[in-house]
Formats: sequence, C-alpha cells, structure tokens
Amino acid sequence: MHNITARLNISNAKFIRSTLYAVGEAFLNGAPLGVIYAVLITLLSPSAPSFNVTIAIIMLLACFTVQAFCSIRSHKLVCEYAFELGSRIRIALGEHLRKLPLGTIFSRDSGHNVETLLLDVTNVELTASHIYNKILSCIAVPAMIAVILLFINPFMVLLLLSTLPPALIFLYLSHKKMDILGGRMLTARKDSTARIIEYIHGIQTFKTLNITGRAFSRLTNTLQHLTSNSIRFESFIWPVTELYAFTASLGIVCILYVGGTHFIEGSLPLFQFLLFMLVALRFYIPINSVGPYISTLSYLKHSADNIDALLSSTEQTGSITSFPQDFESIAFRNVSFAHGSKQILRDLSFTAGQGTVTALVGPSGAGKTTIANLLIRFWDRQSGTITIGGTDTQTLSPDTILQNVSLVMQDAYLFNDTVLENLKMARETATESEIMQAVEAARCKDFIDRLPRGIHTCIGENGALLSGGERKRLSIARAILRDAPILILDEATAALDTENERLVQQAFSAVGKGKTVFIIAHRLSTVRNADQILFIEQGQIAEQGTFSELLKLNGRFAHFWNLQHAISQWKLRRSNDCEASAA
Amino acid sequence: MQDVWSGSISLGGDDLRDLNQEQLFEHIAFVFQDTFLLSDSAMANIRAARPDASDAEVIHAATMAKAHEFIASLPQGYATPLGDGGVPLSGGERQRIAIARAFLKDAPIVILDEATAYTDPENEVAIQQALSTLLARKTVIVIAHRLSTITEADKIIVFDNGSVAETGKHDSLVANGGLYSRLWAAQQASDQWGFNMPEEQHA
Repeated sequence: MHNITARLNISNAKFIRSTLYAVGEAFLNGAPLGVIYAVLITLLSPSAPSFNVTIAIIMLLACFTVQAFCSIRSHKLVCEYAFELGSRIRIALGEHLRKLPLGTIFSRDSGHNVETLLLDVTNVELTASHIYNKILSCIAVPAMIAVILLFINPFMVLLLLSTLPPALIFLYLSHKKMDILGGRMLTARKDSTARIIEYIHGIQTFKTLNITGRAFSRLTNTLQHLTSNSIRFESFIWPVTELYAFTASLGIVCILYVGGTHFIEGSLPLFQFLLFMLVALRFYIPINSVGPYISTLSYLKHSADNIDALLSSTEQTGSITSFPQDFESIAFRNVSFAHGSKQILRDLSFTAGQGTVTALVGPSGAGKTTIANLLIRFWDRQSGTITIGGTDTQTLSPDTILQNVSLVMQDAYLFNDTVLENLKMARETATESEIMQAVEAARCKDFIDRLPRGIHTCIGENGALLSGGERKRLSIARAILRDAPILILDEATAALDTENERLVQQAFSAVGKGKTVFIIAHRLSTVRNADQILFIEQGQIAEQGTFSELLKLNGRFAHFWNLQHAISQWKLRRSNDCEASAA
Repeated sequence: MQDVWSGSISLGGDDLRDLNQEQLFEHIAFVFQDTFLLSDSAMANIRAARPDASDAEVIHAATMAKAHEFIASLPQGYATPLGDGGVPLSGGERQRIAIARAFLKDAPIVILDEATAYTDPENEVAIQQALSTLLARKTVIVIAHRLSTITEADKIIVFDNGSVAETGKHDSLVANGGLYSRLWAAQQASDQWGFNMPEEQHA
C-alpha cells in the first residue's frame, strides 16, 4: 500500500490526523478507569473522606463527550482518506490502462483486469477505511490503559501483559499461512470472474455446443475451486484467532490468581486488586478483536500488490502532440514484432507516400493487421523504426496518432449509448449536417430511420440491437465523420450485403480522395488500383508492386489472383463434387 | 436461441418448442461468422464440441477441417493457449476451429452463417473443401451474402424485411427478375470494384 500511495503521490496527512484522533479516543476510553480508581480509593480508604459524586459524574461525562468527538472526527477523516485513495487509484488505473500497449492488456486474462479494477481497489479502500484504523485503536486502547496503570502497580501490569508474547506467536504463525491461503483465494476469485465473463461472452457458442448449465464444467469447476478456497481461508482464520484470543485472555486468570494470592498475603491493597480485575475484563476485548483484522490484512495485502504490479507495467512512450501535417511518407524500416513466442513480423521495410493507396494482401495470419496495429501504436514494434514524415512514431503521443487516423476494423466496437453519441465519438465537434452526410454516405440512414427513436435510439452493449452489417456501416460512418489524413480499412466491406456493399464502396472512394490509405483486403479486385500492393507472407514482404506488375511477376500474388477466380465459381456442394470444384 | 411469438417451427412434424433445447442442439452443428474461443488450449477448444472425445478424435476432426497444419505450427502445438490472454488467431484460422468443432460433433443438421466470409484464397479453398466434406449427407441451412456460394442449393429462400420474398432454385430466381435477380446483378458489379477506381469503371 505504501508503494501505491508513494507512486500516486497521495498525502497521508488525513490518515495521520485520523490516527491521532483514534489515539485520543483510545486514551479517553481508558480515562473513566482513572475516575473509577479515584472513586474506589476514596470509598475504600479507612479515613473515609467526603466523596464528591458531582465531580466524578462531570469527569465521566466529559470523557464520553470528548471521546465521541474524537471518534467522529477520526472516522470522518479516515473515510475521506480511504475513498479519495480509492478514487485516485481507480482513475490512475484507468489512465494507465489507456497508455499500455494492447499487447500488455491482451496478455492478461480480462477477468484479472476486471478484478484488479473492482475487487482489489475495493479491498485497498476497505483496508484504509476500516482495517488500519481498527488495528491502531485496538493496540492504542490497551497501550494507554497499560501506561496509566504503570503508575499504580508496575508488577500487575507485567502480569496483565504476560500472556501477550505467546498469543502473538500464534498470530505470527497464522499470518504466514493466511498469506498463502489469502493469495490462493484471491486467485480463485479472479479465475471465476474470468470464467463468468467468458461464459457471458460465449453464451451463444456454449449453447450451440450444448455445454451450458450443469454440463459447463469450466465454470462450475472454477466456482467450486473458489468455494473450497474460501472455506479453507475462513475456516482457518477463526480457530487460529480464537486460539490467539484464548491465550491472551488467560491474563484474566493470572490477575485473579496472582492478584488474589498477593491480596490475601496483604502485599496488594484491595482497591488495586479490584481495579486490575475490572481493567482485565476490558483490557483483552480490543486485543482479541485485533486477531481477525491482522489475518484479513495479510489477504488484503495481495490486492495492493496486484494494483502495484499493474501500475508498474511499462506505459507507452511518446510525448510529441503535434502531428506532422505534410509528412510526405510513412516508412517502416526493418520492423520486427512477436506475440509471445509467435514471431509475426520479420525485418519488414516499406514506404508509403502521402496521398497514396497501399494495399496489404496475403495469407490469413501473415501479419497484415499487425502492420496496421503497429502504425497506429495499438502495439509497439520490438525492433526497427516506423516513421511518419521522418518522426519516429515512438516519440509521438499515441493519442495524437489515433486522432489523425480513421479506422474501419474487422470488428467494430460500439458503445451502449445512442446512435448519435456513437457517431459523435469520432468527432465531438461534428455538426448535425456533417453527421447526416456521414450517415447517408455509409448507408446507415434506412436502418436508423427504422429504429424506434431514430438516431436517439440506444443500441445496447456493442450495438446488440443492430445486425452485423448495420454495426459495420455505423463504424464506417464514424470513420467518414472523423475525416483524418490517414485511412485504414481492414476488410472494411466484408459482412455487408451486396446492395449496401457497393454503395459503401463508393462512399469510401469519395472519402479516400487525398488521404493516405492502407487497405487490407482478401478480395484482390478491391486493390486493383492501389498505388502499391504489398504481398505479405510469414511476416515479410514477399512481393511488392502495382497490380499489373505483380501479375506479370507471376508469383504468389498471381497465384492468389487465379485461385480467387477459380473460387468465385465455387458452390456449396456435397463432398463427391468437391474435388472437381476445388481443382 | 429464441422462441417464436406466433406460428410454429417444426422438425419432422414436432414443434421445436416441445423439444428441450439440449436435445435440439445435440442434432445441430453451427458454424458462425465469428468463432468464440475459450481461454484454453487448442485441444480443449475443439473438444468443447464433444467433451468425451479422445485426443486422436480431436486431431482427426482438426485434420478434416484443414486446421491441423496451422495448429501444429503454433508455439506449443495443440497445447497452445488460445482465446482471452492466449495466442491470437486470424479470422480464417478461427473459422477452421469452428469447422473442426462441427466435425467432432457430427450432427445431422448443419447451419452455416456466413461461414465462407472472406479470407485469403488458399484458406478459402481449405475452408470450402472442409465444408464440402462436412456437409456430406447432412441437412444444411446456409445463410449467405455471397450469392455465388449458394447457386447449387436445393432451395433458396430470399428474405426481405423479415418475410419471405421469393423461393426457388438459382436459375429460376434469376429468370424471375425479382429481388434475387437484382441482388445477383449488384454482386456481379461489386465483385469488380476496386478502391480508387475511376468512376466510369464502376458501371
């Protein structure tokens, strides 16, 4: 936790003030004992002086009032501190995630990211607001009482404290075990969250594979694992903390036996014996309740570690926010990229002039989409350089690059908001007529008009209310509206029906004018007029040139072109005809 | 996935609503446009279609689906983690995992929803060959935008705004001059489209 507060530069002032109030509260908690002691002395003294009840009552009332005040202040301050801490951590995590390369995010199970953002932060909040404070006051109250009693009878105080060392040994031993069990429980929780997210996302697939319900062992197994880990964790806490509390409470027996003996022997005055009996009953209540708090702390520490680990993952570099307007060319020089142990791009170089169309074609999985992802810094290249107008993209802020790119990807993500808000996301300042133009160009008008509330209809999570083609067209409208100098189309018109596909293609030709365009396409006729075609195979450029140059070369591209022609004659048939149609 | 509000859908005379969903899905294999992958090994991803299948049966299904070669070339072969947090696959590769699942399931009814969406030509040949093998002796429902893939279908149903506009075989539908023939003509034209092409070439 200290790592987090230091990293986020969060002031502990409120926490320290809250702690001081908590200590004050603890002191006043012990103070009534002093009053009672005074009363006892007065009552039991043989000379029996006059006893002033009023003063004792006023002192007690004063103690209670100031104690209540301290308690309120302490809680208010610690809650302010804890929830400020929580919100600062959440914002910091959000900001940090945004600045991470996608590779770092995707390499973590999304369930784990969700749990760090939700459960781990809540745990840290809880630690700061309820656990630390409780532990401190649980220690402060007995400490105060012990200090006060030291002036009365040091021997009896030693007696009172004598059972603590053995009790603390139990607590220390349990702490280590709890650390392990708590870590396991937290991991089990993350796994089950990951499985629940997977279950919801994949429900259609799971239904069709007939593995929903009880048959879905992936989910039920992780949930059972969580159940058994939680039971082991909780069932370990209580016996151990009870053992700790039992050992500590043996002090009462010590006071009764030793104090009693001394009293009978006459070496301990009656009022002191009575006082220590009274105190002993009170003394161990906070000491006993600190056990579960300290055990819980060992588990909550894992949450703080998880947050710290996520916050310490390396952010993307780049601070230049002015995008080169006349960049002349975009250049890849000896770029390599691997996803884990899977090498995707190898030593790849090419140049794309400003205002030209570059097509990326080649086998599925060859690295075409990765090239686009590296250009816009969704991922960062591992070696080589990518420059826009001579400026290394690593020095440009990732936000700046994205502001200057219109993107139509294979999968478009839509937000659970209205059609209008989803469109405005592309350009906050777009006017109504600009939006309508984009809507018309992307052939969205018909389906938007059919929606119950038109452009103001909420479209559900990731556009659940829309069909695949409609989602695609909406994402195309976004790209048109964005009107950025670089346009990337990744299989942009796949999944559209025939009529709309043709109209959207025309819209693209219109928006693409004067832009630097990258097209990733499998249908090779689409890229016939590109200024250059790069045939990507196994992460390298196998062939490069214009359409006619590549056909003349009669290599891989020509092979694909011919194959595609043959396929367009292909029809879905029974296997007995298959050899003929594939040949 | 959803029940009808009015009218009925029957399978061999039995109303679908009288069948329980698990019985129904036991007899249907689906290949969708998007394939959902579990965050688990390639082996487990295919085996999801039939949890009691042996490793050899999974590998056989992958081979039939033309998926064996690319799975074998992954960093850890069939043990390579896929899905959330795993090695990313291309669209064509994911599709072949779906086809491998359908092979493993071996259900009498197969539903293909845009299963031949664009991928590179070599992949497409592989997918088409895989599908052709899968479809032998099955009842097949194909949902397609690319009309060229369905010209040989026993029956084509053309939908417009949620109702059936036309039914028939490819040749008679083209000859009819209705919605299907318009779609067919538009597709022939869009197949010729190229980015940045001078306007006159569009026609």
